[in-house]
Amino acid sequence: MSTLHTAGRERVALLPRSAEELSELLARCRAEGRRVLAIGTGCALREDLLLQERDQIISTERMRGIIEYEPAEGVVTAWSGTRLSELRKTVEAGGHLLTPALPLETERTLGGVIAAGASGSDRLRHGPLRNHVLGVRVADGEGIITRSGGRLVKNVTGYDLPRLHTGARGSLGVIVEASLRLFPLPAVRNGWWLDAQSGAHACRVALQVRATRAQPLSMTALRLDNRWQLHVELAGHAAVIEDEERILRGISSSFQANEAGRTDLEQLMLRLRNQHHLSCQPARIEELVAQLEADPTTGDLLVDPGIATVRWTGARPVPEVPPLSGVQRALEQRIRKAIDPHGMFLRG
Amino acid sequence: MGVDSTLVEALRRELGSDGVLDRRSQRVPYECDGLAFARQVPELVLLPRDTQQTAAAMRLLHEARVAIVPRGAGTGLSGGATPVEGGVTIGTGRMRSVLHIDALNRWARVQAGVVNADLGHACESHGLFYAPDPSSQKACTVGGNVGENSGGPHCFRYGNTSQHVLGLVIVTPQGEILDLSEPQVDPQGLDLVGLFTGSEGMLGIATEITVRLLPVPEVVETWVALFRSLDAACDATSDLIAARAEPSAIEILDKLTIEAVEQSVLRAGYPQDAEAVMLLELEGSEASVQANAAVIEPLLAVRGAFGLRRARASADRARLWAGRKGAYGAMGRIAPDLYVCDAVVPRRHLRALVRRTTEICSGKGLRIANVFHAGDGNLHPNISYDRRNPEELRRVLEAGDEMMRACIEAGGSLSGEHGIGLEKLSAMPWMFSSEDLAVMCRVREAWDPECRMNPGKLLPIRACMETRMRAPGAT
Ligand SMILES: Cc1cc2nc3c(=O)[nH]c(=O)nc-3n(C[C@H](O)[C@H](O)[C@H](O)COP(=O)(O)OP(=O)(O)OC[C@H]3O[C@@H](n4cnc5c(N)ncnc54)[C@H](O)[C@@H]3O)c2cc1C
Ligand SMILES: Cc1cc2nc3c(=O)[nH]c(=O)nc-3n(C[C@H](O)[C@H](O)[C@H](O)COP(=O)(O)OP(=O)(O)OC[C@H]3O[C@@H](n4cnc5c(N)ncnc54)[C@H](O)[C@@H]3O)c2cc1C
Repeated sequence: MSTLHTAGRERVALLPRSAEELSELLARCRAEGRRVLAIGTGCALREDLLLQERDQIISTERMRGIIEYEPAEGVVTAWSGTRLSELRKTVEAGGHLLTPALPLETERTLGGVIAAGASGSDRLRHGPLRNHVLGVRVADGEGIITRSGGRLVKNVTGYDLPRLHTGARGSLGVIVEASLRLFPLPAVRNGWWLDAQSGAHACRVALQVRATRAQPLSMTALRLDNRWQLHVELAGHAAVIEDEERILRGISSSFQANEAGRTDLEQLMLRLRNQHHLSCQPARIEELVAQLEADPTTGDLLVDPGIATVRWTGARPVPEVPPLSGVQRALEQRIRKAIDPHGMFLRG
Repeated sequence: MGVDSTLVEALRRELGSDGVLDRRSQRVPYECDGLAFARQVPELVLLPRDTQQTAAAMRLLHEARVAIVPRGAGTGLSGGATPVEGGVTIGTGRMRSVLHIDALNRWARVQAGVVNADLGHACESHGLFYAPDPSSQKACTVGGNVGENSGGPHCFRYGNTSQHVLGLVIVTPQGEILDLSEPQVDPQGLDLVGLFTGSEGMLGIATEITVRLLPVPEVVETWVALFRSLDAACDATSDLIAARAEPSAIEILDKLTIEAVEQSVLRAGYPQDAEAVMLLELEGSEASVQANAAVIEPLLAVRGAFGLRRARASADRARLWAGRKGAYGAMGRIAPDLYVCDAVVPRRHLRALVRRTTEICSGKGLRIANVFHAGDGNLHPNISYDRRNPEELRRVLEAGDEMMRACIEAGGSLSGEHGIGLEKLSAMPWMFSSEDLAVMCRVREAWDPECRMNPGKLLPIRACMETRMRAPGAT
């Protein structure tokens, strides 16, 4: 058992060591009529999550370890409580890059990251996490574990349920195990940054980079203490990097090679976790950032111009998202009922 | 109820008389897809022009409790579009408009019946392309690609269709319109678009599809390398994967395929003294193509590759690819029918499994030609046969089963791109437990409680029966 602070209160979390223990716990919860909140380390739960006295928190923290990693295959399979840092270390030794790249990887679990649908800054090159979850095993409200997808880079057998669990925040069951597609570890990796006059300016430069042949791993614009910077991460063969460096300098002579700027970025990402975020079409990002930066109630800002996503701190709220259509809402409810008929799982 | 004259009249009022095909001669062309030995003439064929007409037709069919089979171009190879007895086929053949191209944001919205290659042509002038490129791309529809989550040679780099679908308009089995067409960074709510893609026409009909487009790379270079054995070509592929080389496609053609291609009108200039041809594509900036080439070339040499040719001019490249893309057509010369198997194996076991499939077929006196997406471990052992010979057909199907079992035993999968359909229905329990299948059945019933959409495909009936018996409140 361990404890977790949520909504200002201390709660007990159960920590099964294996899939069997997890199944038993779930069966017991079901028999006792308790709802379940599945967590990894609990570092990124929803702020508006309301737990009732009888709700049971189950953490996969101790279900950790690599199940299969064949460097000659390019796929890793691990227990859901495995930390991202451990996964990354393992696959880097075999020459692979793990996506998503997130800050604080020692605290993030594979299951939590998938359930959160959390794509990292490297999404610019590698695409969203949901493209890379090749297979999952998931425990349902009776503790029965079922499998979908597999451990292969290409596979269309059966419905694509891994996509349903990715981003479902635990509301469809507890992820027990998952397989991820990996990418080649780049030979060279380096960072470039420039001081920008404004957020809109940083976005404009980023979109100029996007329009060239360069394919950065990530591009991030940030405002920290009223200073705007644009960071561009290059990764690949040495000759490709050289070419891309030339492209960057051709777009703006104020691009500089930098390692130090990276620390600011990490800091900001940590501060920004669970803060407001908003996405738009790439062509609209400049306008959106201009609006946000002009508003005194926006605090720090972090922008992925290529993915057209903005995160910020401060009082400025996220604009209301239009509600789901009636058809979509009803269908989602039926799907939830099909997978979790007793309504056991909370959305964490 | 079922299909009767009242229903036909009501459908005519919604779709116009040319949208409802009821004469037998009009319906027979729809009796099968590329799985030629499974045939059933549909009771009716409907050809709506848009989402509204599709929804109106689906509502009428819902009220009449009639089974529905969605159909694109019918090039599917697993019987996904095979009609069902007493059912209606809804074709997307009159939904062929490219609705919008947003070049700045790199996406396009098309009607489901748009042919894959036509979408490619439509975005060419914007310097953009649509990545999934099934070898059938001159005929197959984007809707059919969504139905099967189709792949193609370049999916080695870019992934199957689902990585490129940003949104859908779906008409549900009840005839409601589910509009998820707006491209979003992440889905709002559950990823219904992701779930629908690859659901083989069992959850509804997609009428509009929003797809991601990519900028055309600066350089594209096609390579042809020859090998003295199929084993060596397979090993070279496994080496490329293990070395994490980054071409955008790795395809292999074996000797029988090469001969068929070279004797056909599709002549690609593949030398006939090779036992296997490997087609590779490298793309990106000049610097990245060169850097990749420097990694790839020595790896091929280790396995004895010879006669390497590299082409950049688009006409030369097209000629090298034409042989690959037209391979199935060319094989028509060998025998009247072709059974195209589709299975996936872990890429490190490529050689062993390709050998095994060859042994299985030769053991049954069958001719097999291999032309496949080697880079993804996606095998296509193709068996030439004559469907009018029932004894031969039986051997073909037995060989298909044995090959699939061998792939699954090696940690592989039943399908990498053609889907399960009718063809592999009975093999699903080899890969999934009854509990695994029961979840899929329940998800399907959440969309379609009466299981009227494409019944009898993908999910074995027994699995669905078990779900019903287990369902809370079931009697
Ligand atoms: C730069 C950056 C980008 C981020 N992007 C996103 C984003 O796009 N979306 C987002 O939601 N978060 C995002 N995050 C937050 C964060 O990355 C993840 O939520 C976090 O990695 C989850 O790790 P965890 O193990 O602590 O999970 P937890 O905090 O314990 O749980 C996170 C969520 O997953 C569920 N969960 C955890 N484990 C399981 C399991 N085994 N089975 C089923 N459900 C489980 C929980 O119920 C909860 O809903 C981002 C953070 C940063 C800094
Ligand atoms: C010569 C040849 C080469 C091929 N090469 C490849 C290849 O390289 N890669 C590959 O993946 N496949 C390949 N295929 C298989 C086939 O072309 C693909 O599966 C293709 O996507 C089918 O498209 P279609 O329009 O013909 O669909 P159909 O065959 O008509 O239908 C396919 C499935 O999708 C469903 N469906 C169709 N339209 C819709 C819709 N609008 N909404 C919902 N469901 C729908 C149908 O019910 C059916 O289950 C090849 C086939 C041939 C004959």
